[in-house]
Amino acid sequence: MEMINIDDAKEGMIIIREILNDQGDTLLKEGTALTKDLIRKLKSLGISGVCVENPEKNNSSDAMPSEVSTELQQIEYRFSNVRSEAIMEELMAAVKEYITEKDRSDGIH
Amino acid sequence: MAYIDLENRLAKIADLPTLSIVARNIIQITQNPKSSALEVGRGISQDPALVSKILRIANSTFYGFPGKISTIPHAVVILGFVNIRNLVLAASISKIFSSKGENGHFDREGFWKHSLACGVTSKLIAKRSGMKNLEEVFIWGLLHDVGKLVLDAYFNEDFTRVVHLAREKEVLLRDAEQELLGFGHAEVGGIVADKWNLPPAMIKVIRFHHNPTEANESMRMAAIVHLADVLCRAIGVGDGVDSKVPCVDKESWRLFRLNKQTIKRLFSEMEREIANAKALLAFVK
Repeated sequence: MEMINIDDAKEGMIIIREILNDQGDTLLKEGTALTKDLIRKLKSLGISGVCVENPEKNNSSDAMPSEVSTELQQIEYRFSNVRSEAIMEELMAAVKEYITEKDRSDGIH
Repeated sequence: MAYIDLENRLAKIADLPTLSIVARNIIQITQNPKSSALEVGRGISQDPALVSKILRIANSTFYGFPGKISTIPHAVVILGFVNIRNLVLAASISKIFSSKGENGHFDREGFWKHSLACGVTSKLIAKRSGMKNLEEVFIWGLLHDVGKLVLDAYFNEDFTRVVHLAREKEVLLRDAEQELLGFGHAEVGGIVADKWNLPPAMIKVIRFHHNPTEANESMRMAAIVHLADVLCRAIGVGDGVDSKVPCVDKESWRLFRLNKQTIKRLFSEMEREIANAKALLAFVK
């Protein structure tokens, strides 16, 4: 796990440790994909660093084509308010699988 | 924070325009099983702009008869009463709102893209469950969010604040509506649909597309559109205001026996059908 400076945070990076404010309230849950708006908000709230998944990977080319990985992160963002529901987790998994499988079959044809 | 009280709200909605005379006629004629294609054709012919619009869309690939339909009675026979009524209704509604409320805050194109996708997806869900009147189902999905057009056109200042709040707080539009107005687009859409004398089931679908279990005898229909709405958002065809996926109604989910595999198959069909329906976008815009 690595803490990075908020100035190095990029859209699509996944938070792996929840971010709390001074009062101890949760601002962002772990698993959230950062968006430009979220990064801006965190900065405005004085948050200086965030723990993200594979910070180097997000900076360089990944094993997975970047278009798909961006799409998967956007899916996580769209579902970020409803992930406590089992059905919604199932639905999100279906969307992710569909996108990934489609990308693979596009690559074959 | 302004809260528009019920009385005030109803007074404003009472000022809403009605559907065109041609549209009202067509709804009436097509609801009567004894009507003939000729009568429907005669009704449409009173509006020349509508005639050319309908012929153009009837000949698009969406309906599968490209370039073969040259007259309105022919279109009525080939496409059927329900399709023709849907087209007249969609054209009439989009015309009412085409010049109002365009202030750049509410993305009309995004709105219609989402509505069309919901229409197409509703049809696919209904087809999977063995329902027959698929064209009827299509219009439920297409019009389910009509209340948003009403809010944009007639409560523009309030609705602009709602749109901003939804974007700023990254919440669903419906939650922002409740917070600022105390009512939402589903409720407004239901009132307007009633005023327009749309079929009772359609009114219920529009009113209860967020909470289908409250639609009583129309629950199954409202559930179809509710699921279509959630699935479209899940795959990224949001409404142009918020892109979040709302929580699905569990009863609706179970009613249509959805699971990961069926959903993936639906997504694949949705993509193909949504692409096919693009011709309709020019029709409603």
